[in-house]
Amino acid sequence: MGQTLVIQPVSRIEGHAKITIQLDDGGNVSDARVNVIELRGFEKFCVGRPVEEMPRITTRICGVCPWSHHLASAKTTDAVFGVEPAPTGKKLRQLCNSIAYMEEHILHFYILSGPDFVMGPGADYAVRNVIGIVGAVPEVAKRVVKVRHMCARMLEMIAGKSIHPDAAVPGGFSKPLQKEERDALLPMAQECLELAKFTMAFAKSDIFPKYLDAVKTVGLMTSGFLGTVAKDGALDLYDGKLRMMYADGAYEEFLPADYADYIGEHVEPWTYLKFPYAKKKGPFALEDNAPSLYRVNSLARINVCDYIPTPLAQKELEEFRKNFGRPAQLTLLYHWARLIELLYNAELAVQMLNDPEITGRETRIKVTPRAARGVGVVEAPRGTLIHDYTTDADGILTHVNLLVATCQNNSAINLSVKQAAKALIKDGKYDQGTLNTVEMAIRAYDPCLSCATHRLDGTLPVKIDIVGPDGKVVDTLTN
Amino acid sequence: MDTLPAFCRARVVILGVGNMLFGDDGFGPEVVDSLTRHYHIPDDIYLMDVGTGARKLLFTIIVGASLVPARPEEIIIVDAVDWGQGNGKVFEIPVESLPVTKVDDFSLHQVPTSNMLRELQDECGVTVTVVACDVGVIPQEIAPGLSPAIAHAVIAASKQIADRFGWPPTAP
Repeated sequence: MGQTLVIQPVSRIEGHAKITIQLDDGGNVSDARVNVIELRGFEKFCVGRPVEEMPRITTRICGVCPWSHHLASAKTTDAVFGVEPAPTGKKLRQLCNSIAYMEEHILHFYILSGPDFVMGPGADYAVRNVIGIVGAVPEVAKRVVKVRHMCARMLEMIAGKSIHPDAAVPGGFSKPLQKEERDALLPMAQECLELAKFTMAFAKSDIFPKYLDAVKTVGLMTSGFLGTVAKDGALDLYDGKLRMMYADGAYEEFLPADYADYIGEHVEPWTYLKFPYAKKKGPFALEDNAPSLYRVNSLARINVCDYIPTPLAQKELEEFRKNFGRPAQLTLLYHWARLIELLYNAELAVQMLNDPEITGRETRIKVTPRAARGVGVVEAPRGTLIHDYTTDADGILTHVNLLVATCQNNSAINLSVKQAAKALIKDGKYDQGTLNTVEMAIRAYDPCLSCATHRLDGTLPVKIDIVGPDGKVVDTLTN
Repeated sequence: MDTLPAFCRARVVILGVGNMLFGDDGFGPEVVDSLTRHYHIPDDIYLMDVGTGARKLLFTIIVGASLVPARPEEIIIVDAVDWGQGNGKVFEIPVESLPVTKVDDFSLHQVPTSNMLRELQDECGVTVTVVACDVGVIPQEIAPGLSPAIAHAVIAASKQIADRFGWPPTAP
């Protein structure tokens, strides 16, 4: 009987989010499993409520990506009511989406993943954190914080608040943007664009080259990819059709409402979180290169789109494809893809603020309850997010289903962690850097570990318990 | 027009942390709501129900506070804890006495854990106060609504904070 390593990140409900690495008698990895908690009871809670409440309620699911749930929900209510939102209302939603994306991607690159790259995964946590970044690259950090402040301020100005937004409503957006507000927002968006351009160049010159070995070795796997594209195949984070691209580059497309015909959901007894898979490619298998295996999030979107409809991001996409092909499979390229998306969103925000229609006065249209089913999809920063509601004739919800991004990357996260652990742990030898590098494989996917409750006491950091054949803990690593 | 968000312009920031969909975990947001409805709050105080998004906001404040003068003087975190009693007792926890085991910013999807609060206080010069309520076990499935003991604790915590700053109650 071999040893068991347990890497247990902080979980708001203790014991439900952890990594277990099983070693064989020779001290090598035989299996790895990642348990992530799933929000439970939400669908049941929603049934019986008026559907128009959903864009407001769903922001409570997650304090990290409330805009994605908010917009997916608003789009779903549009579909339920059978309306196309007012054009200005739709543009205001898209503008908010772009700003929220910038806020997320900047945070992820510089603050969550940045310490791994700037200080290195082997560095002590005393420096491998936010304050470490500030100390190592203070001038960069100054620009980052200024733009982070601006993103929050821009969302406040357009939508009233950045956390728990309620501005997107069935049929559009609750308030028009004033011309003087647009004039104040434009220079902020331009400064965001400057930071996005700088970040791309900085990463390519100072960060990625140092870690090409890690990019080529950590969390490797081969899979298909799912993402949203516009009618002409362009990258679109707010609207369009879903494109499932398989590992060989072939793809099929479907309307969001038909997602259940293309995406199956497999259940494993050791985790609450389901394992979505590409139904048309055969049964579920938790194996590298399984035909039904697919991934979502930035790398998926960059892979499935034919082009990016803004010039600077398109230029970066061409360079990316020249270097890594299409579809690119290396897991740590999620970071690179995220920066291309950052650039795209910054360009898009500037474009949209220059569009005269953004200050139009008609931002919403009237809706009338009816018995119907509606499906709304947006690309959340963490991947494709699907909301599916059914109502009765009074507009009361009778069925709700949510397919969230982290769930769709469940198989991929498990397989990448297993691969990383296998590559790093040999003959029972491991150290702190091993743990940190395994974490890097997970962080590439930027997963939502839990959208439920939380704990203040801060117990249980990332931890490896080494359990001997007799069941006793013989060693513990924490960071 | 100011390019700083409201939470960076205030002198004191009060964050109600928790998910109101999960029973007594909604303590923090309910205290913010109670303060807003029942007391006259000065303009330089910013109250916010941050739900489960506190870390995202605190990251911005931490990095900002360490680099630019845009920082609040004090941040008050109002949050639920499970310290075994579940009796609705409200108490202040000094940042120094928070457990030290949490040190990794593993994910955004966590509480404003002790390392972040320490960084705010020690590295950024922001006074951090935690007003906590021992709520006991939080449901694992969605079940909104506070228990009677915790609803009572919301009133007590609101009064405690308002009295500390000398905020007068609004007319009944």
